[in-house]
Amino acid sequence: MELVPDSKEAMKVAEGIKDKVVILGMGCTRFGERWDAAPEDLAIEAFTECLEDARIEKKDIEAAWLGSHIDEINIGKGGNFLGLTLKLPLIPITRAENFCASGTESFRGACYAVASGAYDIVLAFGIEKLKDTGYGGLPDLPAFGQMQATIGPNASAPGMFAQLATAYSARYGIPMDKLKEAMTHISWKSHQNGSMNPRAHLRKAVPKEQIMGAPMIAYPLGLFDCCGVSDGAACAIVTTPQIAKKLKPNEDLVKVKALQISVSSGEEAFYTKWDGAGMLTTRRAAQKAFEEAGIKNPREEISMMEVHDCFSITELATMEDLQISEPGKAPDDVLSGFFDLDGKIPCQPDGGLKCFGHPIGASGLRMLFEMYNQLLGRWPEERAVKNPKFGLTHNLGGVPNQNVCSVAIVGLD
Amino acid sequence: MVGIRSYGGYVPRYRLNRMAIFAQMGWLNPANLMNAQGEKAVANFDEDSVTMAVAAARDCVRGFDRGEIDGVSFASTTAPFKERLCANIVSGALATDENVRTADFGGGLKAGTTALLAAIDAVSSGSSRNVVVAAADSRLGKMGSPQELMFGDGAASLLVGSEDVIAEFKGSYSTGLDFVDHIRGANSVFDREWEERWIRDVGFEQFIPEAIDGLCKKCGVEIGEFNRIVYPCYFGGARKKINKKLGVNPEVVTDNLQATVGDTGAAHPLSMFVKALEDANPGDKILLVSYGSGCDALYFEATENIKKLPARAGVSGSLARRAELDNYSKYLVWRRMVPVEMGLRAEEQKWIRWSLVWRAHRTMLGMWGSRCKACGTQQFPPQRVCVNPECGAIDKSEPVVLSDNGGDIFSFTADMLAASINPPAIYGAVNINGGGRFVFDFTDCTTEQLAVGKPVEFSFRVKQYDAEKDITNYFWKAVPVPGENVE
Amino acid sequence: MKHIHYPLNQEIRSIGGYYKILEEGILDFQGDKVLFNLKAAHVDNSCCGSGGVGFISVLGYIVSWKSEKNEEGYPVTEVRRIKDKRSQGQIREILKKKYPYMNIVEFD
Repeated sequence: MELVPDSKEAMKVAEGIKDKVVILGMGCTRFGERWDAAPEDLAIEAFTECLEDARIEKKDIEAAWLGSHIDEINIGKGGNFLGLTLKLPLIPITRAENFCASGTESFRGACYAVASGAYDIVLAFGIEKLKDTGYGGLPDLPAFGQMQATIGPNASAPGMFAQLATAYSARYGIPMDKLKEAMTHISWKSHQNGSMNPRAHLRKAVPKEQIMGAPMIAYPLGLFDCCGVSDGAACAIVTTPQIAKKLKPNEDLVKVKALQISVSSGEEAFYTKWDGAGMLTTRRAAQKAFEEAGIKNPREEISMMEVHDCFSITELATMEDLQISEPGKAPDDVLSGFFDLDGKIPCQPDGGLKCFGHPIGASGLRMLFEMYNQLLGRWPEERAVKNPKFGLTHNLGGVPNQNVCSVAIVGLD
Repeated sequence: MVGIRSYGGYVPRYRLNRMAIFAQMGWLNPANLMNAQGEKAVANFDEDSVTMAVAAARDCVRGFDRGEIDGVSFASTTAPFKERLCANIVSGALATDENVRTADFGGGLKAGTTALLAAIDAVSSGSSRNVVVAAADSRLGKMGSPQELMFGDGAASLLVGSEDVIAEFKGSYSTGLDFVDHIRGANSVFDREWEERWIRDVGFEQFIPEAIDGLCKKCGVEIGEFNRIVYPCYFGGARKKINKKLGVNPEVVTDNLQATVGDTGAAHPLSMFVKALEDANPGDKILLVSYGSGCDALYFEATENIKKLPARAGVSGSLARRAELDNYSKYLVWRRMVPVEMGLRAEEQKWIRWSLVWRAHRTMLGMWGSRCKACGTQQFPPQRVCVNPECGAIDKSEPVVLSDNGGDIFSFTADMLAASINPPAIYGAVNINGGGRFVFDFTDCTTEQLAVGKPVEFSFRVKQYDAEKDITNYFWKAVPVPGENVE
Repeated sequence: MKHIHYPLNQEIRSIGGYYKILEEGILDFQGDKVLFNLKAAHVDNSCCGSGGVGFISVLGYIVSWKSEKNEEGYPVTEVRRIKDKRSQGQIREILKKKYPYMNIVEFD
């Protein structure tokens, strides 16, 4: 039977994830060069905190999703690592890998499991242990398959993201001086915020002059524009609103408002119409997430954000892709302090990838951990966001012309 | 009429001043000061004999229908493989039909002219119509050796056929001699030479005149009738003696390119021959002689067509695309003469997967893309599902060769983190003329020479070299078009 | 433009690596004094690679030498940025000859 467009529309029943899932508890390790910790140690550190926060027992967990990116070093493939480490009693564990969105992807799997009615209590886990490679940098292994490894450029991620900066500058006629100034502000802000966070990889505020004076890694990106490699783990236990209310009566609850993923279609890589000045995937995921969450005016309604600042230029362009800043206006917003901790929409209150760190599989859950604790008002005054209602997290895995993007929105009831 | 239809030349962009070599190694062999004059052409880190041969062959067949080429020969004593036919790589890069006769020639320095003779014979016999001969060499002398100073890198190419011939083949004379002046064993990297005085007095000064003598007798021509004489020999004194012995005016003897390029081995007589053809007039009688393991002497006569051949880079054009390599140790590293530390990260296993390479060989060797027959969108690499978001047609595309299209720079960067033996790694997105975008490595340029919108052309280069397994693989890179400066 | 003279040979650290100001130099150029720094960076923990770079920062023409101090007590020099491409090219050539081992010459 062929469906006419009208009847296809009439058959639609999906209503999205909004308010169907509650975060019952979360845990996150200190991020950093954890020479002291095996991946098992990191997992237990995050899980113990999460279980205590959720106030349930391990046997209550019915299923788990596990996000990690690189598998040959780190924790290997499949779900076994989590079962073996935490001694989870033969429950279903699914490994999710989707580049830097892997952590959010595991959270998404867990939330969908609860929302579908298949399970009551589910664990979402994210972990990466990279400091056993013997060098700085992610392993130089073919991430986009053998064909691209064979004919693609001899490139590093800073080089690919540097081209986002040159394209952005060209697209909006913004002089590189001004763009560098905005990027410097972005790095400065993350260092300010990170310096107050005891779990952050790098806790050191840096004057703008020293950021500005850093050597170029890939023109126009300097040393302080780039993120690093960290070890760490983060996790969440999710459940239904009904169960959460029973387990935590009379407490504020953090609900999932939107979970969206968008993946490149080849339009950016092989077609000549993409302007190179922003990510099509982020634009798409953001639009779908705001629709799902029922947010009409993101600039007014979003209270705070943790975004994928793998490079300062990524954060800058993302402000526009997320519809927070007008096209070409992100540098003005950044320089006005709009995204500072005391600004209208604080961005990276925990220090972001650049200071909190970036253990790939854990990053999405680390961002949610920050939003969750800010929403519940658990952080000390000096780094607390005032009266937050909606928190947005964003991951971007891959490179500007070929990537995976996730956008999640969580909020108080 | 059988003969040369077209020619092409290639001299790599980088030139190393011989005094810069001597300044580093003269302490060991002070006598090398005699040879430390002028400069030598040096292949870039991503060039080898195959890529240089491709560059010369592309120059040669510019404007000719690739579909009419039914033979491709490669001649070199520095083929990167003992097993894997280099002529097939050249043929693939030229995007010829796969119904093609391919052969590699090697062993001695006369391999270039021997390949040319084989092509002439194939066309004369009627078994081939158009044969591309491409010769290239990149020989190595040990650090501090005279060879290190005298050898240069380069390539030359000739199209042999029977239509629109620019230089008619009139006859040849050959000798085959196991005269071991230079030798490299099957597993040797560096050239070894016997006493120079013997090479000069017995090798060049006897064998070249003997071959010319043989040719003149065989073809019934007098040496004095030749307007242009080409023979390789980098000993200045020996050249004088040979000219005197032959009784020729030194002005008809083509320059040996020693001051600008160096001895390019199997390619050398052909490079000099290309230089002679660049300047030749209709009716010129041209004598081409090779030397090494014997001699081939070939006799050509330029036709009226020689002035009709559209302009091409040739040897002179590529000589003019010059950049100084002011760093001797860079030369050593590029030619893999010394081990260097590339960092642990660079040691991750990267295999060249031959089954994949075969499936994609047209994409990789010939830069074949696709054009959607439904919406006309050109794309690279070829896509089975059209990339135009308004189209998306499946399996409606036709193959199209893009290597000659060129393009312009959409974005670029210079990267100090990507592992490279020639940092920074320079790369960026190129909009291919006619459609399609791809992120290419850039080569033969500095960052200062790049700008968004600047035109580039494509060059066939070494893409990966697996040192552990001694395997080279190739792909296309982007090179800024010289002279097209965008400020 | 103000240039702050941070101490030489001090590690300035980001998450991906660190850099040091190795040397401070002054170049006489067409009647002006050009202030520059030699810097070295080691990118030893970046997400996407490891490496390093030697780097000359050309800060500008000196207007007034160490005429004040900033709040941390470091001397501050007033400089005029070098924007003219021709002068940039000439200064780049001179510095590249003088310091052939430095990879990059950049103008502030």
